[in-house]
Amino acid sequence: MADSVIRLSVPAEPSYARSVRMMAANLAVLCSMSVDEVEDARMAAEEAFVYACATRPASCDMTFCITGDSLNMAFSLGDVVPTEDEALAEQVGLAELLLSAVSDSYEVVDRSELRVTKLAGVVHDA
Amino acid sequence: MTHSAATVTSPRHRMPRGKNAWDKNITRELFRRYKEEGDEDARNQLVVNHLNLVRYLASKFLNRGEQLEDLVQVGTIGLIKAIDRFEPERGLEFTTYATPTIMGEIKRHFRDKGWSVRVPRRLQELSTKVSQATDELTTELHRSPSVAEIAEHVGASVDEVLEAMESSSAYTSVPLEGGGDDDEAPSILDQYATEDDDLNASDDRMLLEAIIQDFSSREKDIIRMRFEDGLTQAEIADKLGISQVQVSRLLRRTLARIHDKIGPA
Repeated sequence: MADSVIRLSVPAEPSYARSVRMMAANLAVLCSMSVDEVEDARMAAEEAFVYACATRPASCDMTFCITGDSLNMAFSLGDVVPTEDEALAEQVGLAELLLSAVSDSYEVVDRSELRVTKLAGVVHDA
Repeated sequence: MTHSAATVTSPRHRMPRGKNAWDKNITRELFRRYKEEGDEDARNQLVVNHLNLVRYLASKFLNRGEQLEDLVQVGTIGLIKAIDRFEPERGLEFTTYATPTIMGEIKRHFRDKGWSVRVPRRLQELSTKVSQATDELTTELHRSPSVAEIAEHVGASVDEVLEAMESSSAYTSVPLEGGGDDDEAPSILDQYATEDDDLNASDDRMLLEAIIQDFSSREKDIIRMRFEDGLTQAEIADKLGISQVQVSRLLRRTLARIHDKIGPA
């Protein structure tokens, strides 16, 4: 399958988490992921969205890139640094823990974007 | 060593909140006491300190029809295993180590219950319930119900209802006469009183595309224009800049090829 790029922009509010989850899950299916991997991709998308919302952007712009065996997701971030606020820091800390467990890699690039990769066919302990 | 969830309910152990719960120095000291001195109180305090992590992870599996408290119990067993297996000297953060273990325990719980293989059945049953609830609520409310109302009616989450709605579309692609290998599964005809014309047309299009895939581009164009776009022979002739007679001849020839490929009905 040729690489495809899908863009989604939603208000940075919890009620839109479902849209993000479902988009990720549906795209994960296109990458031929197993049921468990689709579930991981769904969780990874939600946690990345939670992380992005904690940085208080007006909206969250997401780019999903699907290849034959991977789903790459990029989430735009706001200007707030979550680690400077105790409640936000805890929220982001939990999100990062889950990201580390269900994704193959994640990184914050230039404090402006959170990138998450989920590969098909890679067995995680979790 | 037993993994009793009861050990975490001891009133002697505080339930710290926020960053104090995972304070690295406190966690390191508790592990030192537990691993080096066999201090069971330290072990129990470690469990209590990380229960919010278990609750958070358990909440991520709520769309599978289990109660949160049941999942917290299962996740707590994973937490206790993580505490017992953790080797502080390796330098890894305990929470990083424990998260996959806790999630693994919860996933294993679902696997043991056959969740993965039961997904289609689970969704199929929910799909039927959603369909019935929609009819009932429409009658009751005199309007089309919201997804949230349906979710409440069937005792599922909004996500589950959406998932079931999505899956019910997929089920229409299986034979209408039965539910596959599983004799107990309700047939599609039980769920749908009328055939979906759009779906049938879609199936026809897919079949047609498969048949004509090795036809010339001119033949493909004519077939699509005639049978997918519904153009007349004259309109096709106009579009392709050829005569209507030529279109008629091409159509006849192409249809004969299609007939040969499909074989006798």
